[in-house]
Amino acid sequence: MGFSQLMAGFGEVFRPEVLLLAFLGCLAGTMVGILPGLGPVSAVAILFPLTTYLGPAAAIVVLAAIYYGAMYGGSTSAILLKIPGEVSSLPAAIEGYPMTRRGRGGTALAIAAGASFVAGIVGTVGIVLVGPSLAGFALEFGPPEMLGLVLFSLTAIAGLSSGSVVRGIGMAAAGMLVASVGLDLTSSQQRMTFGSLQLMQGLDIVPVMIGLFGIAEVLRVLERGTVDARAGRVGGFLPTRDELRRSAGAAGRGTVTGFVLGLVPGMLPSTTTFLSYASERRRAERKGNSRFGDGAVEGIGGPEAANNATAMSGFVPLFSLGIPTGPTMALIMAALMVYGVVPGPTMFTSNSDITAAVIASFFVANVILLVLNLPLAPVWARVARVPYGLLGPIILVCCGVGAYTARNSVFDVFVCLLSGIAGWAMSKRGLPVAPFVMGFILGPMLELSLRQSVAISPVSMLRSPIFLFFLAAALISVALAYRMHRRRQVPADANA
Amino acid sequence: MTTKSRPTSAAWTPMLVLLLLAALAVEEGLRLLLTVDPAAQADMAGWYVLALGLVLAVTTLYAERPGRAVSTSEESEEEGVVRPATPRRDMVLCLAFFAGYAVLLGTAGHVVAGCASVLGYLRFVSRYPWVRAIAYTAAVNAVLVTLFELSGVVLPTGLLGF
Repeated sequence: MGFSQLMAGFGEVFRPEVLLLAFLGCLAGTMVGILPGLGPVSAVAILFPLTTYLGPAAAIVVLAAIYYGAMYGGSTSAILLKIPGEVSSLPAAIEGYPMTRRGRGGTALAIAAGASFVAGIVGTVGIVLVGPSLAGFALEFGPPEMLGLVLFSLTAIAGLSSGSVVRGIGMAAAGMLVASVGLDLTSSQQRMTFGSLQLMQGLDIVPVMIGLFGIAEVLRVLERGTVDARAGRVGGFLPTRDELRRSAGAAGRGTVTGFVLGLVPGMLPSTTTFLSYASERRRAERKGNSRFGDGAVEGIGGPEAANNATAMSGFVPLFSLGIPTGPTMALIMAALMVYGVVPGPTMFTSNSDITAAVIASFFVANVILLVLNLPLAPVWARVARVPYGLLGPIILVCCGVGAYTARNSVFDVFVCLLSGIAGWAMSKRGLPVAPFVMGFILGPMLELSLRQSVAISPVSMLRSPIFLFFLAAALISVALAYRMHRRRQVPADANA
Repeated sequence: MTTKSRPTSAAWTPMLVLLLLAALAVEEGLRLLLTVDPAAQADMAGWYVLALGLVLAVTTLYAERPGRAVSTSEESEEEGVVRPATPRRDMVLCLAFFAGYAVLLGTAGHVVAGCASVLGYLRFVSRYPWVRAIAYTAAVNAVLVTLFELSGVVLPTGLLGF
């Protein structure tokens, strides 16, 4: 992707209607992200039906704006009300809320917004720089190489995003099995359909995802209750010189680690956020001036930057390899396919106009959110206090409509309902959802590349150095994840 | 918060459900391998689900045994959390209203489905008084229908024509 194409992308985004859509997407995403219990993935799932009838470029721009807005919104409610919309906003709640109680919520918000803005812009530049070269490399991939990449992605996600490697692999296998329901594309034989005509067309990813994240979230809130929101004072936005110095350094470190780690499948924004928080905390303790737990600005700037940078770098493997790094990216991938855009290397070749517009929209969305969030902070604090009793049915109807519009099928609404129950049960029993989702998305890709590789030659994989590299990386990732979990378990067992 | 679960009958449920899925996959894989005409070339499709079923069975037996598996605690210790009085009842009703929405969507249309499920939820799950529930239902559905109309989402109109 050249500079001229990127400029053409900006030209597309600066059209008044697209700009308005990006603004509305940011606004809607922020509003949903602010609400208790709803994070970016739920926001994308709930608001997805509103974008299905836009053109591909405009729809992706809106979806990206919703995703971004929801991330900002999560931090806002975390800082002002101590309600983290998602796990990755937890550090903002721990460090930001004490500042709000001291009447300095505005400063905490400004630091979070500034760090997110810098990370978002750097991450977008990273997509422009890394994406096309990675896509160029991926164009050389045949079935064996693709098989290796999918295997590595699945094992990395199974290992990193769950509490146990074995459980992660099991849930990935369950996701792949659910995805295999329907007609086998090669032999046209029915698989796992049990004679049902509806199951013959397979399970669409959109209702499954909406159920797992939208309906399941409503059930979780009904079960465990909501936080009684009491906002503190927002106050002024300007940080002191010392706060600016400390938060800028942390944001810089968070951006770099967040972006680099975010390229690895399974490294979810929540993981890198906590890595950054722990690293900043250790750093401050080493220096002997730790204010962590009582409003440390490094604990806001670093994790917020890491969160946004990871979210941005997730677009690199999605756009260049067609591989999602986590559930949100999987949902965006599903949405892209609904819009008729297949993520993969062609995003930077035959679909480069759409990709350029989306990348340009990332820049624009960052600016919109910075302008939108700080002045409207008191308004957002009020929005977060809308009772869940009123939000619940709205979320349900949006989920129902989203599930229906994927294929104009009422059957899909029932699939959404069952997925919701499954999603709730999984979180209730501590079964990891991320590997299941990845198995569902990557399963068909794995099967196709496996069958194509075997059709070329049963040993074709062993002749491909790229496949062998990915296979080794997959084995190493499993071993590392197993060791990591064992280390975590040993002190826990010792304390028990 | 996570705690070690006690091996009650409920603790066996995830293991049994996953094992059931694994058993179905193994049965389906064997069916494709053994009973389908080789000319249909369904063997790879069979091997694939058979292998996945076996992986799921082995990992489930290893990791999901009650006592080994970790479940999330029902008791939330989060500060300032307002806990619902009847969570199970609310969840069942919520699912019932969503199922009702799905049934009505295809028969009575999206407006009726939306109004009925939102009203039911507001009245019986959120426990708003009838008047407030009806007023909120009208407002919520007016906003949602307008939004879906404006964004061009085509939804079934059903027998009533709207």
